[in-house]
Amino acid sequence: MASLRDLPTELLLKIIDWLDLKDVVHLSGVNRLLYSVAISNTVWYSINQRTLPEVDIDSWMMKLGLSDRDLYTNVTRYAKSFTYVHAGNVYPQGHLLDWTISATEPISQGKLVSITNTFTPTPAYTSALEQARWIYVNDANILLNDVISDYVEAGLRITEERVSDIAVKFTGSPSWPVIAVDVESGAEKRMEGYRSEDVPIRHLLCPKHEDEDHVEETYLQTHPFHHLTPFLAQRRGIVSVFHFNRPYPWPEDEPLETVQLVQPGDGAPTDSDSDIVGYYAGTYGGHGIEVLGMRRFNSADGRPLLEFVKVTGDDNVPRGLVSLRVFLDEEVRDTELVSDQHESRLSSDDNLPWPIDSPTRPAGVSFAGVGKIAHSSYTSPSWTNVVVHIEKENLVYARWTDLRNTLIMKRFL
Amino acid sequence: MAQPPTKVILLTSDNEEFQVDKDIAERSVLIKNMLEDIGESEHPIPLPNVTSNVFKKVLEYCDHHRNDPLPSTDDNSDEQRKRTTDINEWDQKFIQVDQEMLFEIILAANYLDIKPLLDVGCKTVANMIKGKTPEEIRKLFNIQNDFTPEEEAQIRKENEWAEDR
Repeated sequence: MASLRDLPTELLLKIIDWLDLKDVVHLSGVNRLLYSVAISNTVWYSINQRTLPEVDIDSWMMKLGLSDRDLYTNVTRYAKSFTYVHAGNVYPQGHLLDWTISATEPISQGKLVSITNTFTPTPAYTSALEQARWIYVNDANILLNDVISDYVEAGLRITEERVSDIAVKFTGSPSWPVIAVDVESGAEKRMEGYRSEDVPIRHLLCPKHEDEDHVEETYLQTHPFHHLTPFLAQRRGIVSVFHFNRPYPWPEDEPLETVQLVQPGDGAPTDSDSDIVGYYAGTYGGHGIEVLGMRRFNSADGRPLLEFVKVTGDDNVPRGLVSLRVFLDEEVRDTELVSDQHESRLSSDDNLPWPIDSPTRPAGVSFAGVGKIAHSSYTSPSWTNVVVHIEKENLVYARWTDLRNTLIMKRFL
Repeated sequence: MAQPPTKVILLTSDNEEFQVDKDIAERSVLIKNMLEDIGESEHPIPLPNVTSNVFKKVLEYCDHHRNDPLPSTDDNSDEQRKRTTDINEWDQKFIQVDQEMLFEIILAANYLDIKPLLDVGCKTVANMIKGKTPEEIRKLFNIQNDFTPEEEAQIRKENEWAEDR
């Protein structure tokens, strides 16, 4: 006897195609089969297409790494902030969505967690950051990471002792919100040396700028949390701010690369020449804005290299690790950077907090390189091909050829 | 002088033969393609996935809609089609059958590739689901709840956001 159970998935999808959002959600609660069909991306893609036509869903999903269903769930919950974000490209990161924390961490659901590192930066560093507005980015960056991974697991690497591969994880427990996780073994351990405090939201609020599309730099300097305002305004009471005792970025006397990555065949940097010579800021797609340190040296086998080391990390590749390695003796002609700019380059531009003129034919020179990629929490790290285009000393494009994503880095110090 | 319509012979899974006007049979894209492939033939065309009682019902639909414009096959028409679950009066009456027949018709329409009929069937099921709670849906379609209580609680929590919209 034929019944709903006998229909192949293809036909169930056709039926669901006629249902409204709420009915699809109800259907997912009927049984396992219907759950698996109702939460499928096919269904949510179609719902998104039908109900959020004014938003360029695809590009946002790409940036955020969200599935259709996650996107819809989050976006519709906070439609207002989404609209805001979409309207203004100034600070698209960080504040647009609340994150959903997995079932094991219900307590911290919907809570804004911002991370502040207690460090005493040099005046030069601070002023450079402030000029480039980067001082606020760290907070937003962490927030965005939360959204991406759907559970809070910041990429901030804590290495108080020389312990390798420790990541920080938010447990959601109010009494012990942060623990350290050994990335390799998954073992968790309590972390001393940080404190969390609750800050009234009103301390972070500032008037919303009238014209989100045209915010001047000066305004941003005087209103540091400007970009968080729409997000914070929806919250009540307090936010928890975590203070880590870890100096940030890191003390001058400590080597930048706190964790030595074992890479057979890789030329290890020679100590004499490994100093950071410049700091760059750029966007890693959905990871938001990151800061990279640049250094120049020769590899053990004599190749001239340029390296970009992560000053801020994300939950794939943590701070302190080499993100890009450029082979200065291997010049390439990057034809795609020229022809492809409307696709990959422009999408990266959207992430930038500064206006940037994409030249139709970039000046400069391109080199072959490799870039570090990894799964969440720096699992299965590997190198992938990158073409690095140095337009001028303070503007560098890194095109991750396999990922079809371009990172634009601007020097600020 | 008008030619009498060409007939085709179709054989259902329970070995019942149907003599059908060609234009009615060709509402089914499957049959239409088969006729194009084999050309004129005395032999009946087998339809192993359809029983005679369901096929009768399908023919009733095709007969009534024999003069409708054929649905265009390109994908654009899909997007242009009005997103409404409204069903016209005749179709509504036609599809007032028991659940078993309803799903048989959907399966047959899918197999025979009769898109308008498939739409009518799917819309009907969708209309039955609309506005019902998961429990009501289970009851309606006689579906076993195979979630553990924990899973059910989890899903309810996951879905809470949709409720207050």
